[in-house]
Amino acid sequence: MTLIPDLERELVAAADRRRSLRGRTRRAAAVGVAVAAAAALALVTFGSTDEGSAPKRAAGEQRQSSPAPPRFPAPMRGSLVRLASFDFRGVHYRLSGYRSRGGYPSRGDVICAQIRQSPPVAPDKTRPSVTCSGEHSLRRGLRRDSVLNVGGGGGERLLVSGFARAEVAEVAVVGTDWRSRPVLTRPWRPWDGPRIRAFTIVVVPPRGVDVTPTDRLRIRAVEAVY
Amino acid sequence: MGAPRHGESDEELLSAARSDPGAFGALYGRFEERMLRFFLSRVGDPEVAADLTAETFAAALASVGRFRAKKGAAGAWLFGIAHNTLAMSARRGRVEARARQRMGMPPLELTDTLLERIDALGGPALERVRELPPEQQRAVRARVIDDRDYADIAKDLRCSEAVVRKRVSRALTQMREELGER
Repeated sequence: MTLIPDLERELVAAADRRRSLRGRTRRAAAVGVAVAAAAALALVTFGSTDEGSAPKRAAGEQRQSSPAPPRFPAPMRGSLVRLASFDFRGVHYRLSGYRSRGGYPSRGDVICAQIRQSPPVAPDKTRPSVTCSGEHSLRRGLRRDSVLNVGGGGGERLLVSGFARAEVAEVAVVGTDWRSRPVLTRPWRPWDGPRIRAFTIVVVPPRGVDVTPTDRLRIRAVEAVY
Repeated sequence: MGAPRHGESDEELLSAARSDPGAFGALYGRFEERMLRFFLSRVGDPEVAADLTAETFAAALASVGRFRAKKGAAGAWLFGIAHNTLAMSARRGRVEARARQRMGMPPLELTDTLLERIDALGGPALERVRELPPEQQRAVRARVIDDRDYADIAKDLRCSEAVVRKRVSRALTQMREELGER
């Protein structure tokens, strides 16, 4: 028993269609070869020296180049919304949300939360940090959980971001006792559906601490319940 | 639904699939889970992983006539198509659907239950793979998730088999330790 029996069924049906089509094509090709052979014989009989008239492919013809991969999902026109801004230990953060046609494989559009900080992490690292989720999986995830942790990363300061249902009033940080600041944005509607919020947690590890990937994975936001 | 056909090798099934639709169904059954895991480890979304799996098998079916058992294993051939499908989808920002359209296959209907089952193929170990250093990540993905030979991986990564073995072993030890810590 396979996990996706529908896909197996569709593949077997497609293989069957392909086999029948190949059978028909072969028969047609055999008829074509016979007709061509007869025509060639006729040409030889009449002493023609004409060569095939099909246009030849130009030598060195270039293949169409593939488009360069998008660097990160760019906002769809008019979808970028400023959601929150705050200061934490000398750094100013601005959170925006938007909808994108995608920048990584996704079934449809993606919903993104973008965090810009000033001053930037480094003079050459001025690009915002972007966390995205496919629209379908985000809808499904928020039906299941009130807060959805989507992505994390960072260098000296760690950022963990995601989305929450609009009714969530506050998020709390779990998985670390380092200095941190969770921020939940105002609700916004990036799609034809219920409003949602974005959140981010900024974590400042103590000086000299080597942050391991496991540390990063442990840090998560949960709905604060009092 | 295709029978498992235990007596036939993957290569025999793939060769037979040119004229026997059931053989392709059996091949799908053998590789489905590995393929879903492969995509899940890269995109992290069960819905996208399912679509990419469907597209890969449709593309494999479309070019099954070009498979030559002498040139390599069926698994390597299939995962080669999977890599191309993923790269093409990443470039376009959307899961490719060309092969499925060409083969007349409708979009997959994915229920929440099914997506949860696919998601369960991932788990904390896969999350950890994404956090490994790049050279270890490549070696672990190729060996553990894609199930490739060390010699084949070494050729790809342009290093010796011993180096690949060392990278895989180190990464797995580290992952075991860290997952045990939780």
